[in-house]
Amino acid sequence: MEETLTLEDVISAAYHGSSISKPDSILKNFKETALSEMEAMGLPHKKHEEYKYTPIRKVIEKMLQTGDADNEYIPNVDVSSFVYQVEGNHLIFVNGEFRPDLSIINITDGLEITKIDESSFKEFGEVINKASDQSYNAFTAWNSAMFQNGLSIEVAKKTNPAPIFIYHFYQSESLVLSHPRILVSVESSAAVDITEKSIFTNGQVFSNNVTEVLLQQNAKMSLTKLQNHDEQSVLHDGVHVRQARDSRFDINTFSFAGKMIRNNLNISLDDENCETNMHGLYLLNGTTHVDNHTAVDHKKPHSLSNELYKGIVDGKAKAVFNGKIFVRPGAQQTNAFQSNNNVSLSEGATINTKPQLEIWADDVKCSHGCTIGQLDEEAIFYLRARGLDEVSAKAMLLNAFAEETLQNVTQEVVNSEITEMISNRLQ
Amino acid sequence: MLKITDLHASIEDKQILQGINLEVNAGEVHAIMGPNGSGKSTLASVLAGREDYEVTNGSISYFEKDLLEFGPEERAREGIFLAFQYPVEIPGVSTTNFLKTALNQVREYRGEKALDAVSFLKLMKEKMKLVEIDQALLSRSLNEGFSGGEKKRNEIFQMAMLEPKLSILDETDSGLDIDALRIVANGVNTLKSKDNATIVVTHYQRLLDYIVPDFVHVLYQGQIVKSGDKSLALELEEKGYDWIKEEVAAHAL
Repeated sequence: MEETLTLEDVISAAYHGSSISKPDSILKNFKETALSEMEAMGLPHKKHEEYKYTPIRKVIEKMLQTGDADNEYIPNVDVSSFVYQVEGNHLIFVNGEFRPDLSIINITDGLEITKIDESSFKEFGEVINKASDQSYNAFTAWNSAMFQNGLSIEVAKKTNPAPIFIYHFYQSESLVLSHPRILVSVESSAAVDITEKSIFTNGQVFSNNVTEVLLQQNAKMSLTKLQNHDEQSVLHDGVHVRQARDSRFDINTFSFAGKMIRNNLNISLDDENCETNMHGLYLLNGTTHVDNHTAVDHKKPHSLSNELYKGIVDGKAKAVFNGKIFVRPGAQQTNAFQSNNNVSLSEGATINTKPQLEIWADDVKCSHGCTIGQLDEEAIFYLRARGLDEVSAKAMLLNAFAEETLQNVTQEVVNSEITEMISNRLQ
Repeated sequence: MLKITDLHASIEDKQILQGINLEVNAGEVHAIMGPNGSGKSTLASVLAGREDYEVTNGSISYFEKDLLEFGPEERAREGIFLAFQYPVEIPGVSTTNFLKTALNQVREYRGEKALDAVSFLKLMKEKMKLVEIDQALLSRSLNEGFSGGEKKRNEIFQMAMLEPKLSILDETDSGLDIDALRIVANGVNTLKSKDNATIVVTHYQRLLDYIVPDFVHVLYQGQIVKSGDKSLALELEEKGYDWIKEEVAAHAL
């Protein structure tokens, strides 16, 4: 990378040099529009208000300086070594591309699982970017330009299919630039449960994920994300959700490790009587940097959003939380609750938390609260006075603090994996 | 069992205990009484190992060991139990949950085998009867939303589970109605044996109607200024603390 080239130039060059830009691609128009949007918007600098505490652009620039992505490398994927041993559909991405050939798709009642590529793209022209348009930014555009072999999950109305597990597998001898794209469309009165996690083996990874979710009337979806990443890996994860009347969306985000993780969660409550539950836990040490930016937009009356993010930050780790709640004019009888509670375990840890409420309706119930504290010394003394050693006492208190964020994790195997990760970390 | 010699302790440079001398033997019940601010709760806290207090002088020997060398958990494992004046609320941690870990750490320290889930439950059921406490309460977040009586009964329940040699009850009667007081006192009395001892810290005589002390000590200005038998408590109930204060003042002259 020459000094004079901007990051956008490098990305553009990568695009033009790749097979994605070949002239006979049906996707070409979509992708070239996205590329020019990315160039026009530019990936956010540190001066960008939304990225003030998370210098992800700089981190990506540095990664690109160290070498190029090796597109020739063929990863060796042993699926059986990491999939959960439970019934369901296990969908595998390798270095950002959906691989139906490696996936275990065998309980498909109510489900339509499709690879989004040149041949299938025309089916998705109407749907893609529909959920992300209001929060569209350079990262989404970059993903649109670069993704190859995305995943579409369609859930037929009035069905409740087997759970879905999505695995992002990464392997390379050098750098991986990954742009997984996932579309989830849940038809009316259907329900789906999705878990997403990443598996790192070799290589340095930057992954720019975009997931778009469209929930139709009375649809339900639960999404649990496990972010226990390699210490060299950087993730920008955009989740964009649109909810129709009477729908419910639950998301649970657990961040444990990685070099940098930025979660952008944007939820638009487009009609009345929606429910949204956002739970998150970040349990950080070392120099891990995790940033959760969430926004929920109440556009119509009678909806409920409930947000609870908790953090335990140790070492020199950094945590950022920004929670936006918009209540539009006319969105009366909105209930919107938000809280972000943090425990700082070391002097070197940094926590930035900011609630941001914009309320344009007058008959609403909204609350927010941010706390940053240490462990309760009196509680530690109490437990020690009963014979517990100090380490066990602290672990017990932290476990109890974290536990609340697990209540919506419905898959037992995932729930116990997270529980175990928490207690291992806190020992 | 316990020998406190010339104990001085301070908190944030404020001297609270100014030379306590006290000896407690197995089988005895000692009451520590005194007006507010005399240092009663400080004494209880120092015995349990609360680190906010600094012992500036004196010594505490417990079964010939230097108690001040021990952290709070070691004291608990050596058989010291403090029933808290203000039992702490811990969201997300139930009594059952923490007590099982605590009891097994105590047992391990004493060279006993850890209790399995079934034996623990059996022991719990037996001790629950003692203080008429409900199992549902013990499965809830510790002390969260408990009434004053429930909190104190929970303290005595934990005491029953841990079978201490030296129990220190810090204002256990505060916030209790007469029925709860009776239940708590009954629990304490049942646990009493010739091998253990109890220190009852209290402002009022009323608890001592139920837990009858062998010795009563009056703490004032960080010192034990008077000791006697249970009749001293009755005298204090009748006359208040003013005459003690006057006596001390006169003595100082």
